[in-house]
Amino acid sequence: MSFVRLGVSHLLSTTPVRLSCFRASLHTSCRPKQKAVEQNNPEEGDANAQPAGDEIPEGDMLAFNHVIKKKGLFKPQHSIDTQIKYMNSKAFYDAYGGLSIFMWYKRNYKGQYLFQPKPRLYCITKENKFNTNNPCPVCRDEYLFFHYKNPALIEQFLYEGTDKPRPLLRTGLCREQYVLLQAALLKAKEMGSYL
Amino acid sequence: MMCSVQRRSCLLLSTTRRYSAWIAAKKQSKAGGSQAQQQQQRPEPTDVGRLFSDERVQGLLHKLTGVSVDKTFANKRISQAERPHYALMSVQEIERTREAMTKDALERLQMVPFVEPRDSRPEILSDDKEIAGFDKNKFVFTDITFDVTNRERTVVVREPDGVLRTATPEERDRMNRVYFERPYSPPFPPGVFSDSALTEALNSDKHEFVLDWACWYYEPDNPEFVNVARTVYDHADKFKKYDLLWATRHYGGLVFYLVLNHRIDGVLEHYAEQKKASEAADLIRLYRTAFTDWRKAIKTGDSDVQIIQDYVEQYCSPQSKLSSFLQGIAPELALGSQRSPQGPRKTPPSSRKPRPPNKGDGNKK
Repeated sequence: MSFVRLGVSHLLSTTPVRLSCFRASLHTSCRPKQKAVEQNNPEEGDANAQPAGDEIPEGDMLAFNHVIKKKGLFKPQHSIDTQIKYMNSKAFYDAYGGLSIFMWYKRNYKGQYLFQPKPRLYCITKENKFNTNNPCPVCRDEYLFFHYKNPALIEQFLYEGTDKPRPLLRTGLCREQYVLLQAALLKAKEMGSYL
Repeated sequence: MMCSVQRRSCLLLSTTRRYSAWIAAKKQSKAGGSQAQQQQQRPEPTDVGRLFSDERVQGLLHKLTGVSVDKTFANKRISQAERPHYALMSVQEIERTREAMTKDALERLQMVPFVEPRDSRPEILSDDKEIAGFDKNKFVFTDITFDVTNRERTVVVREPDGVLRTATPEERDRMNRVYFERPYSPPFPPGVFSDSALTEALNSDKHEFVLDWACWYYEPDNPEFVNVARTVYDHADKFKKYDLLWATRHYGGLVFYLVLNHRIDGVLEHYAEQKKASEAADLIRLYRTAFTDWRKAIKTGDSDVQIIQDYVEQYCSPQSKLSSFLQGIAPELALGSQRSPQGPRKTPPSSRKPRPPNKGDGNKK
């Protein structure tokens, strides 16, 4: 089976790179790093510019979306408002194609689904560093984390029309993120932001 | 249920509150004050529960609420996914099913009791100074006998200074929630009723959800319930989101609250936009049932259009949506309503002098 990668075709074209305030997510390892340029339209495609309003500490090796080998790097911290804007942006749509974020995720296990090992305990250590080069769907995207104010992300991991989370082995989450999903679901119900 | 509400509203002759908790506080109005302020100078009822239980008011509120099977039985999020059920039916069977569903929906539209918030203070049972300082914390003793209702349950509190008193209503409710657990009813109020979360939920059009939870969680005479309900109703009125609560059990409460506060213009304009003449007339009838000292009383023979026309010529400007609506449904009557060249009237009905007869008065009864 040929594994079709999303968002690759525009890398091979000769059109100029569009400017955006959101980093490209995943699958763009072929492109060389570019300097941060002025932000024109937040809805446009991919660039390496930093989003407005978030201060990233200088000097740390941060695991931005375009960085493929994340082990040993720090996960950037963003606000929930940035996350919601990101999920409505073109960069997000280009990366995930309108599907759930775990649809095209695959664990590094060469074998059948039934015999895969148990899910990882955590992708990110207590010091906020990645301990793996193939983190789970939520840990690998710098903008995403479970929060009660963003029920759209929580809903992707529930069975449609219910409030039951999908199994870990299906979605590929680490156990820490699964617990955080359950906590965010409970809080969303309590604070009335649940869909 | 209705009987106990009426008994309760008799007992709740508020001794400490001069005005109703559901009506906005009165402001000192000057001579050129706004129409609403001058209207509120009349003495307001202190117990709105009696007015709410009135037969005519209840009938009108039920009529205004309406019934929508699609809304009441819409798809909802549940714990276990269910398969859809398909059935092959004849036309008569479909009709019978629709009637049964309408009847079921009507039962689910029983209105929330509209009562004054409780005002009881704890009663001191004994003052044992000998044991003062026995502990830093209060002790709460709850009688968890099974066949006692939550309201009549004995709940007493021993204070650290030795006083033994009955519990306040908040303490009583909390103890009931602790010992008799119900789903989605934690001992302390959930975050959705806090100001910021409530505002965000209302901005996402979750009025029905918030009110449903408030009804489940609070008693109707809890001051917290009154606050939450007022916030939701004010938001719905401000942003014209009446349709969110239409055909739910909360629409009667919303309309009654707006009538009490003399704020029916928003709803009337909403009905005008949707071309609902009978609903607009029913709302004006309700307003006149609640505040009856008007110069023009409603006769039983008055038609809907007549009632709307009377209201429009007394209160509304010719440019208002209600006037244009009236022009749309009854042009011959609407022409007679634009007689006065001064524009909208600012004086309240009770202080109005009798109007001199106008020349073009042929259509008036």
